[in-house]
Amino acid sequence: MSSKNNLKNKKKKITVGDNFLYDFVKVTGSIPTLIWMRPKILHFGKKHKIKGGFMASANHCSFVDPILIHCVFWKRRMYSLATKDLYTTKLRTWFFNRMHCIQVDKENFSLNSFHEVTRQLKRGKMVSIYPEGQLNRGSQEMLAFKSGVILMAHSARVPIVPVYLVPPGRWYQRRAAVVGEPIDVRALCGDMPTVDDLNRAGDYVHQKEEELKEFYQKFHKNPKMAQPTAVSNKRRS
Amino acid sequence: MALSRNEIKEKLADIMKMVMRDRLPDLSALREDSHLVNDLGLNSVGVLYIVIAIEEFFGIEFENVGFGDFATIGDVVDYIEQKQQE
Repeated sequence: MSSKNNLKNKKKKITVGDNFLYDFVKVTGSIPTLIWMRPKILHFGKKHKIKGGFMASANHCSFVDPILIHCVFWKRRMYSLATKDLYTTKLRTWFFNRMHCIQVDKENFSLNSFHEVTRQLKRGKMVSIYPEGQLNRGSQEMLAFKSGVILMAHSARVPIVPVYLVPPGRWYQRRAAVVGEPIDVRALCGDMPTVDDLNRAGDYVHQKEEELKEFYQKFHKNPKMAQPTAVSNKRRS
Repeated sequence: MALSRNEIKEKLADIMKMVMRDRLPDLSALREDSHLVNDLGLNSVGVLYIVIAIEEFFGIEFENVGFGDFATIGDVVDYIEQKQQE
């Protein structure tokens, strides 16, 4: 009986369709993306290679942010959250599911979404998330972070990688992103955190992204001044 | 074995103690009509955290429900009871 189950599981893993459309869109879309965005990716501190699951936490300043995050973590297949409003037709539902989107109802947050995110993280996948909770277009200031993100990472026992996406100027301008060092949520708020611990951890991640923003602003003004942080760390590694 | 309504409430009080250690409300006055947000001062993350703790504690999974479906302690107890019967 158990061997039959194992066979079934193995068959499930081999299915081609699961990632075919995702990979196809990613590869074919990469050329126009690279021409259009010409992404500049900076690393604050040491560049880490994370093998297992992790959560990329970024500010949300443009509707093309998921594409920019794809460029940052090019080698990883990414899962992202998509608002329920996008799932209007069967075709769209099929497409978004194939593109590794996890449906979220902003008005009445479903626990199914939470379970799906933690399930993918536990499977060793990468999930990108915008803790501001909404598109913050046109503002240079980041909104306060929602600490539900911390709870997701804590439950799945994965690190959070803060990413600062530089707000776009004109549509044709180059996009930039700064990647921070992974944050171990369990080390930050313990195994049995309270709600206040989670809120504090959310503030901490926000603070880290503010640091990335400052780093980028320094870099933008004078690339030589900001570079030593990254260069010296590279030397150390 | 399914727990009685009062036992579920007691367990819920324990979970709330764990989740809200820093700003614990008066749990002796925990009534079924106590509002999770207005009376107990929980935010959305607090409700989510309690739900996760309930799942682990009672060995059930909250399916096809959202935060908006749980306004009071009574709503949570009702759901746990229903799940236990299933």
